[in-house]
Amino acid sequence: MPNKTRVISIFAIFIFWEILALLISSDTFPSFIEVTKSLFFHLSQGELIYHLFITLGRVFIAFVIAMSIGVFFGILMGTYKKLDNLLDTLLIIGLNIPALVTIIICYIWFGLTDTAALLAVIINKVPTVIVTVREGARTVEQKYMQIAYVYKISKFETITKVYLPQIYPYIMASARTGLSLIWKIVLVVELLGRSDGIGFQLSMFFQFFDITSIMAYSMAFIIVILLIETCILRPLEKRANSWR
Amino acid sequence: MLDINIKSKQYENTTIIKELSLKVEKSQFLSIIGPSGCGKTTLLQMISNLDKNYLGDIFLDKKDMSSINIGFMFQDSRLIPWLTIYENILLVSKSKDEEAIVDALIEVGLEDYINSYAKELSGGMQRKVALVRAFINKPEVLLLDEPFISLDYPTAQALRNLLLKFYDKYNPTVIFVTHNLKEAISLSNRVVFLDKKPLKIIYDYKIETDLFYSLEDPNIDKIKENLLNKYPNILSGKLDTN
Repeated sequence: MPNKTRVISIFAIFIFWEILALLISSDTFPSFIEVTKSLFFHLSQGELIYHLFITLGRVFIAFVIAMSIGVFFGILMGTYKKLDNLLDTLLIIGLNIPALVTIIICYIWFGLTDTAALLAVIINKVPTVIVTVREGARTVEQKYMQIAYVYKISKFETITKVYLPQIYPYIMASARTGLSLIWKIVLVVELLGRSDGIGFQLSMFFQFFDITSIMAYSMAFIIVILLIETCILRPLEKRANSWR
Repeated sequence: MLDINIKSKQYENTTIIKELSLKVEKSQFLSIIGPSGCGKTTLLQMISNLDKNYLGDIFLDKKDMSSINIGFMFQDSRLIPWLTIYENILLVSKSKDEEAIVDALIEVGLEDYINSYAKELSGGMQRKVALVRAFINKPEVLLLDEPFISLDYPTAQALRNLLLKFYDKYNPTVIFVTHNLKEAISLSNRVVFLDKKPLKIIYDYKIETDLFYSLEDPNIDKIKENLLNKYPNILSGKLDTN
C-alpha cells in the first residue's frame, strides 16, 4: 500500500502542475483539471479503454517472452563461461542498437504486423534482462549448491529452492526496469506502424495538436503501470526478500 | 567398511594427495588431525562425492559413494538463509516426515525456532540445526569438517554431547576432522594423524577404551600427554621422537 509520503508527493505534483498551468496560461500547457476532464471524456467514449487494453496486451506478451528468453540465457551465460564468451559480443551489440533501428528493421523485414512490433520490443528488452540475470547467476553461492548435492536433493527442488531464490532478486530487478522499458518501446512501435493502441492514438492527437488528450492518455497509462508496479511487482519482491 | 584408495589428487599442478589408503570400519568414529592446508577438507569432499576430480576410488561396502546416504557438517552451519529452520531440514529429508523433523528439533531444544530463519539464531543454535540436518536421513556415513570451530566451550561441549547422542542412536561411520586433539580423543575410537604435501598418514592411533563422554575426563589428558611426550610434533605432521 502506498505510504503517506508517497501520497503527499503525488498531491504536491498535481498542485505544482495546476499552479504552473495557471501561470503559463497557454493552450499548449493544459491544467491538471482540464487533463482530468479529458481523461473522463475519453473513458466515457470507450475508445481509451479499448486502446489501453490493446497496448497492455502487447506489453504483457512482450514482457513475458522477453523475460523468459532473458532469464534462460542469463542463467546459461552466468553459469557457463564458454557460452558467455561466445555470446558476449552479440549481447553488447544488442544492448547498443537504438530501439528505433530495431523497430524500423523489423517493420521492413516482417511488414507492419503485430508480430513485427512484438519482435522489435522483445529484441530491445532481452539483452538488458540477460545482463542483470547473468550477474545474478554469477553470484550463486556454491556452498548452498554443495548442500543440495551432498544430500542428493532432487533436481527440481535444487532449482526451485536452492538455485532460483539466489537469482530471484535479479530477476525481480530486471522485471521492474523491464516493465517501464517495454511500455515505452511499445508506444513507439505503435506510433510507427500500428493502427491501434495508445501509441497510435498519441500520434493521431499529435497531428491535431490535441495536447490535452495526449496528456490524458499518458496519465491513464501511467496510472495503470503504477498500479501494476504497486500491486503486483513490489509485493512480489517484498515477499521474495522477506527472509533478509 | 569405508574403503578409501586414492592414487593421486592434483590441485593447480600440485599433488595434494598421493597413494592414500584408509579403511574405516562400519560405525567407527574416526578423527583426522593434520596441519592446516594438508587437504583434510578436500578429502571429505572426495568422500562425499563433491569432488570427483581424482585418481582412485572410494567405496562403502563395495558401493559407490554416489549411492550412499551421507550426512555432512561443514565448518559453517551452512543453513540456507531464505528457508526457515524447518524448511531447511525438510529440504534434505528423504522421508519428508514432518513429525520426525519437529521431534528432532524439539530434541535439540529448538522448538521455539522451528519457523525462524537462520539469521535469527545464535551460532550454536545454527550448528544444532546443521547437526539435526546431518542426521535426519539416518546417514551411513557422517562427515564432520571441524563442525564446532569458533564456538565457546560450553556451546561446543553441548554440541559434542548431542553428536554422541545421535551417533549412539544411528551408528553411522564417522570421519571427524579437527585441530583439537582432546576433542578427537574424547569423541573417537581412532585418531589418524596426517602430514601435508602430499597428504599422508603418519600415525594411526586406536583408542582401546569405549567412548569418553567428557573433555574433562582425566584419562583424556593422560592419553594426550603420552602421545605428545612420545611424538612432540605430531600435530604439525612430524613423527620425530624425543
